[in-house]
Amino acid sequence: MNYRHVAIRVLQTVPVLFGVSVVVFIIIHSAPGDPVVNLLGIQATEENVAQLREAYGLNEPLYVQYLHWISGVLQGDLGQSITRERSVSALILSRLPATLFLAVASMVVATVIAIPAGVVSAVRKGSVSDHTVTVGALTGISVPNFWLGLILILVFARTFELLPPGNYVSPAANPVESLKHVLLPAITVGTAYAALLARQTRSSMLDNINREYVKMAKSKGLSSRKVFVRHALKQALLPVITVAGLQFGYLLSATVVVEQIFAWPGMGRLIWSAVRQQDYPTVQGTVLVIAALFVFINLLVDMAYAYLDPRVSVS
Amino acid sequence: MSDHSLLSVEGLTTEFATQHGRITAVKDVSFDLEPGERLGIVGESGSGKSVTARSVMGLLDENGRVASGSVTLGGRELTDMSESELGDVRGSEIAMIFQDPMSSLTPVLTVGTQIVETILEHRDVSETDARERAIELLDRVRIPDPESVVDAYPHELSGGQRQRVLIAIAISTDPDILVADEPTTALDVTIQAQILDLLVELVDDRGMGLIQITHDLGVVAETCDNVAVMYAGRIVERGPVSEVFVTPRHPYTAGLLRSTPRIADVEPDLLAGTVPDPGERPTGCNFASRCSHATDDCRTGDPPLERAGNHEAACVRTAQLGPLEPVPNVQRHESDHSASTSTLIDSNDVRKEFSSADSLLDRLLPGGDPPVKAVDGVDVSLAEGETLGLVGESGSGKTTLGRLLLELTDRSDGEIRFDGRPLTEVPEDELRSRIQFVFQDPNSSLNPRQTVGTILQYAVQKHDEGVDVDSRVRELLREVGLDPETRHDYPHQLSGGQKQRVGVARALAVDPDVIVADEPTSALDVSVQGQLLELLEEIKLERGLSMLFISHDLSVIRHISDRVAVMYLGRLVEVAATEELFESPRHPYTEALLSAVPDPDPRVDSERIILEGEIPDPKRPPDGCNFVTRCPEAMPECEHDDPKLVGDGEDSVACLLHNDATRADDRRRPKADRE
Ligand code: SF4
Ligand code: SF4
Repeated sequence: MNYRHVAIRVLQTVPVLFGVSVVVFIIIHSAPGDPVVNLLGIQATEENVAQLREAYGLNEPLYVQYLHWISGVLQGDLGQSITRERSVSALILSRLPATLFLAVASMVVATVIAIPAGVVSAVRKGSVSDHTVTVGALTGISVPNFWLGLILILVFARTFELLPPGNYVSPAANPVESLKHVLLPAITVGTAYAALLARQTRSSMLDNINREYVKMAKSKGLSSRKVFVRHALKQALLPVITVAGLQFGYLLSATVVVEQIFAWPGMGRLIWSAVRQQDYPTVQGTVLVIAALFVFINLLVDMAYAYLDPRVSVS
Repeated sequence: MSDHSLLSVEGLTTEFATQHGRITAVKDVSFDLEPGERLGIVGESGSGKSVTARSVMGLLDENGRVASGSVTLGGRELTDMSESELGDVRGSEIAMIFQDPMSSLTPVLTVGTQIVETILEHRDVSETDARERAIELLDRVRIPDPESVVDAYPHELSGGQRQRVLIAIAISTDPDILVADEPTTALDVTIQAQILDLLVELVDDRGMGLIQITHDLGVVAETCDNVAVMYAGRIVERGPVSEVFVTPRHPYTAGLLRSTPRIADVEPDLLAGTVPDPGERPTGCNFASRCSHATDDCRTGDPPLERAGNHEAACVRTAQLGPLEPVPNVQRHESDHSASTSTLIDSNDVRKEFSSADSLLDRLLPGGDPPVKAVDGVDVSLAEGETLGLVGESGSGKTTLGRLLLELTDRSDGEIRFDGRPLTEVPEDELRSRIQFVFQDPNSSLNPRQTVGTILQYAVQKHDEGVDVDSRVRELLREVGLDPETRHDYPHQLSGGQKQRVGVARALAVDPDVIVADEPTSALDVSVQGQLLELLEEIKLERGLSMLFISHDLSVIRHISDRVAVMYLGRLVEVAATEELFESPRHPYTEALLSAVPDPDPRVDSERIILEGEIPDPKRPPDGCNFVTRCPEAMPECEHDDPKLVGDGEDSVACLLHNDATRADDRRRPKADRE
C-alpha cells in the first residue's frame, strides 16, 4: 500500500458523502407532514406556525435550505434540533458511543463464531459439522432480529435471569457490567452478520483449498493445520473482509430496531424518534454521520485489505 | 523391479469419481527411478502424466484415489500412509515443482516465509539459520539480490524468478527425488532455457533423481536420460531417450515425434485424430483408432509393455514393424510466395502506449507509473497471399501489434495503410469483412450460450444477406474439417481443437482477405496443433489469403510462415524470409531465441546460447538498444545508441553489429526527409 492508494480512496469518499447529503435532504423534506405542526400540536394558531417556520427557515426554497444546511455542515455545525432544545451535534455525541459499542460488540461476537465455523465447515466439507454450520447459517439469516431479540430477553433475562435485558452501561464506567449488558443485544444484531460471514468464509475457503498453492504447501510436508491456517485461510479471509465491510451497513440498520427492543440509548433510537417527529436537522445529521461512519469503515476495510493482500498496492 | 531403486512404482492405477461414474485416469503404470537418474514422463493432455506424478506424491484431488498398485520410496510404501506420515516424506525426501509458479506460491506470504517454513518443518534449526539458508538457496538458484528477494511477495517477482523460488523450496531440504510437473510450460523460451539448465545442474550436483513431467519432447531430449511415453493413461514406450527418440518402437511415439514442429528443416507429419477421453477408451490398444498399423489383433486386449529391441514398447506388432522413423523425411516445401505481389497492409512507425493509471484521480496525483510502450515504432508490411509470422516473448507487444493492424485497439501514433488507403479512411464495415481475427482462447471468444450454427449464422448474415445461410454454414464447417452436424452443438461440447476450428470458420464466414491469428494453437496438444496448422495453411492457399500469424513458438512459426518478424520489447529486431532467418539469424536475440528451443532429436547437440537475466519491464526499457541488458554481443555504444531497423523489408535487422544507423538519426532529421 502506498500513499497514492490511500489518497485516492480518501478523495473518492467526498462525492459519496455529498450524494448522501443531497438524497437524505430531499427524502426527508418530501415526506408528508410538517415538523412545526407536529411540534405545536393541532391547536396551534396559524400565526404561531408561520412564526416558527420562519425561525427555522422552512419557508425558503428547498435548495436555499440545503445550501444553508450544507454550509453549516462543512463548518462542523449540524444545526439545531427542532423538537429538542439541543444542537444536533450534541445529540449525536451523546448517542454515538452506545451505538458504536453495540456495533463493535456484535462484530466481535459474529467474527468469533463465524470464521472458525466457516473454516471447519469447508475443511470438513460434507461432514456433520459442515451441515450444522450450513443449516445454522441459513437459520441465522432467516430469523428476523426483533423476534430473536425478544426470544433472547424472554429466555435469558426473564425466565433464567442470567443476563440483563439490555440497558446500556458505559464500558468506561463499569467494564464488566457493560459487557453483560451488551451481550444479548450484540447476539441479536450479530447473528445474521455471523451467518453471512460464516457462509462467505466457507465458500472462499472451499475456493482456496483446492488451489495449486495449497497443494504446493502440502507437497512441502507441512501439517494440515499449517496448510489450512497459514496458507489457505489468510488468502480466503480477503473476500470475507470485503463482505464484513459492506455488511457493516446492515449492522447499523439492525441497531435501529434492536435498540428499541433493548432500550439502548443509541443512534437508532435517536433516528427513530426524529423521523417520527420530522425533526429535519436531526434526521439529516444522524443519517449523514452514519453514512460517514459506513464510508469510513469501508475505507478501513480497504486498507486492511491492502495490508493483508500485498498485491493490491501494485494493481 | 530392482531392489536398490530409489523409487519404485508398480502397477499404479488411479481413478477419479465423476458425475459419469468412476474414470480410470492412469492404468497399470510401472517405472523405477535410480539415484541420480533423470526420467522424463511425456504425453499429451489426458495421457495421465500429471496424475501419475500426483499419485506418487499423494496429492490427488479429493475425488481421486489410487485404486491399485504400489509406490515405494526407499522401501516404504507411500500409497497407504496417513496424511501426517506422508508429511514427513513430502518435502524432505521427495519434493515437487509445480507448473505455474504464480498459482503455486501463496500470494499473501513472502518468498522467505515459504522457504523457511519448509526448512523448519523438516530440520531442527533456528529460524535465523533457516532464513540464512533461504537466502543461500535463492542465491543458489541464481536469483539476483537474494537478501531483498527473501522479503518480497511472489507477485513482485517475474515468472522466471518465481519458478526459481519453487525450485529453491524444492531443494531446500535436499530431497532424494525432485518431481517437476511441466516446470517451464508457463515460461518464455529464453527463460525456459535458463530454468532447465539450472534444474539439470542442481540435480547432477546433488545426485538427486528427477522426474520431469512434460508435453514437450524437446525438454525431455535435453534434460532426461530415460523416458516413459504415456498415452491414454498407460505407458506405451519406455527406455533411454537416446533410443526411444531415435528408434521408436511404438507407433504413437513415432507419430508424436514426427508431428512435432521442429526448428530443423523438415515438414511435420500429421498425427490424425485425438486422444480418447478417459471414460471412452476402447478395448484393446488405446491408440488403435489413430494407428496406421492397426490390425484386428490390436483390438483384443491391452498390449502389455514388452521388450522391443533395447527398450520396451506396448504394441502387439513391434516385432513386425521394427524400429520406426522419428523424423519425417519430407523436406520443407519452399514457399512459392513471390515477393513481387502487392502490399496489403503497411504500417509506418506505429506506436501504442498504455497508461497504467486507470482513473482520473490516479492520473492527477503525482508519482504514478510511466506508460508502457507496448508497441514502439514498428514498420511492418503484409503482402497479398503472404503469411507473416510475428514471434516474440511475453511483453514483446506482438498481440498489441496484431490488434493495432485490425484497429481493435487505437494506436497512439503512426500510420497504417490498408490496400493503399490510410486505415482511418477504410469504412469500418469493409475493414471488418476484409480482416478477421482468430483468437488464442476459443473458450472466451465463442459465446457459450449459442450453438455453433448460430454463431456462424450471425457472421454469414452480417456479410451477405442474400445467401442460403444454412447451406453456407454447413459448407464452412466442412471447409474447416468439421462434421456439418456440429452446428447443433454448443461450444462446451467440443474439444479444444474443434472449438478453434469453429473460430476459423467464423473468420472465414465473411470471406476475408486477411486473417490475423493470435497464438491460435498455443492451448492445443501437439497432434491437434499440427492439424490446425495444416488446416490454416490449406485454407490460406486455397483462398489466396494473407495471414499474420502471431506466436511465441518458433517451431510453429517456422512451419507456417513465409516471412518472420521478431519482436522484442515493443520493437521489431529482425525481419527476414523464414528460411533465411532460421538458417542464418542475424540479430543476437533471434540467434539466442533459436538456440533456446529444445530439439526433440537427442542427436542434435547444439551449442545453446543461454541469455542471462530477465526481459526488462516494458515500463522502463533500457537506454540505447532495448536488448542491451541481455545481449551476449553488447558493445559500449549499445548502451546509448538505439539501433534502427534497416534493410529492404525482406531482410532487415536492428543491431549495431550490422548497421550503425540509430533511431536518433531519424529524429534529428526534419520529417520531410524521412520518407
Ligand atoms: S498395438 Fe496395434 S494399434 Fe496399437 S500401436 Fe501397435 S500396431 Fe498400432
Ligand atoms: S545493438 Fe548491441 S546490444 Fe543491441 S543487439 Fe546489437 S549488439 Fe546487442
